Amino acid sequence: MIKRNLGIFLILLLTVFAIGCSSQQTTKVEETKKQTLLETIHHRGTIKVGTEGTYPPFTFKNEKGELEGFDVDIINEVAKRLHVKAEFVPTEWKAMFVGLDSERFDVIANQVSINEKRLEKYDFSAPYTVSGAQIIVNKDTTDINTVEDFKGRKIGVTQGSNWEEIAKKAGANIQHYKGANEIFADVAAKRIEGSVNDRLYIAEYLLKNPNPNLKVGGKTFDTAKMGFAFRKGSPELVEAVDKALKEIQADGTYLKISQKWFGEDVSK
Amino acid sequence: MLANREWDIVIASLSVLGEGAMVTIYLSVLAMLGAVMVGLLVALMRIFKIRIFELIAKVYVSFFRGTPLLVQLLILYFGLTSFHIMLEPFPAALIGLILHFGAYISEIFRGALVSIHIGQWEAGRSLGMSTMQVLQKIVLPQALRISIPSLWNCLIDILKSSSLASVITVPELTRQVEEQSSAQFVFMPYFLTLAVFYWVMVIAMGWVQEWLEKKLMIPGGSS
Repeated sequence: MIKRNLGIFLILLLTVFAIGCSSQQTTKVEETKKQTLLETIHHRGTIKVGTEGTYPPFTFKNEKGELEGFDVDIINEVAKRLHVKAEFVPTEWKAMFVGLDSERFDVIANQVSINEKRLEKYDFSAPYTVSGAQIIVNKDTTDINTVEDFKGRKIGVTQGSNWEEIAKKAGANIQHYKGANEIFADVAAKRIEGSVNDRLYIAEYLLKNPNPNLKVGGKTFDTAKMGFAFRKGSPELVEAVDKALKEIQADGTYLKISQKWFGEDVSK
Repeated sequence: MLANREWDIVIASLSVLGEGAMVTIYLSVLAMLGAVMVGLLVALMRIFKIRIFELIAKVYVSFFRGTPLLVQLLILYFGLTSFHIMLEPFPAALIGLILHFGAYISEIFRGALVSIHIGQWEAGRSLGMSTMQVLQKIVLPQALRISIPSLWNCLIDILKSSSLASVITVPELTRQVEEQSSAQFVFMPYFLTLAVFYWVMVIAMGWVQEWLEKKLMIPGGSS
């Protein structure tokens, strides 16, 4: 009996050990592939793109089940200029960076805000959207007008989002959600007192879903710059994408796409 | 209460939801078949007390029953890539469901097998049948009949748990509904529709169970 228990224990120990080693192995894999990601993409003929598909008007599925949106259009144009096709991998936000880490895709196109914490671990393209933060509250709330008012209040955020950082810094009592839709539903239901999100997204939400229980609080603040996120170690891919972004800015393609989704130029 | 406009949106996307439902059915049926086979194999490994098989079976059941399906799926899909094992979403979900529910089903079968009186084995042996013949012709048919109600509980759970495959990007029913509802900003009608989809599928499974129980009923017997 003791022997058997020992056997089980050993197997468990080995499993834990193997899982522990796996993180070290990842870095090794990347080192050997370092020079070749752009070449791999050219060879494959596709660039794999991680995107939520649940974040309109940036990335979402239309009623026919086809992926659409601003980010989708932009990365499609970028891919065209790399002479490859964009292959989308619809991924939940909470699994987005782990998907990038585990090489499920080469790039994230999902309005990822560029911040210092993320720059430590990931590379970013030049920003392709400049937006701002906007507070959203229940219609009955009158005392949350700036981010400072978040202190001690119950604020909903998406796990791992830039908005989480902002609310945390302001000293909010944070509640985590899977996506912004769930957050806004709970603001309307008064389970939480407010939230903060991209001004472009909130505008789209309130336009498509006029909810009498919701209103924006105060003015837009904090310019947020969004870029495509890459694993570290493939500078030639980042460079190629940056070059493509510059091209679509110069030839007016970018402005056309921006006008189509927002009626304004969101690059500034 | 709920605006007609919202239901119109749901109705317009029914064909996309239908595609998702097909993926759910395909994934679940394959997972059910696989889990029943794995469950039976593991139950037998534990019944015939051969040390090494018994140990393997015990560790297997302990791990896959002892950890959440969601965690297993995340390990299969994201974790294994560090070992250069790149499973596509669908196979990863299928393997996860089979291994997870195979562990539960093995316990259902084991319980049913040990509930068959030892005298049945002895009677079969005394008629000159081999162990395999006794198992095949006498013990298994009785054990399977006993196990159907609890087995079906587990199979229904497979169908519903397949919704977790949405996390590893399988375009099944739940994922399709999440995509549609977030794009249209319509929630309650979509969630209600989603619930009805699953409910209808489970009702259909209930019919299969009734049919099977009737078919396997001992003529003149009570069960």
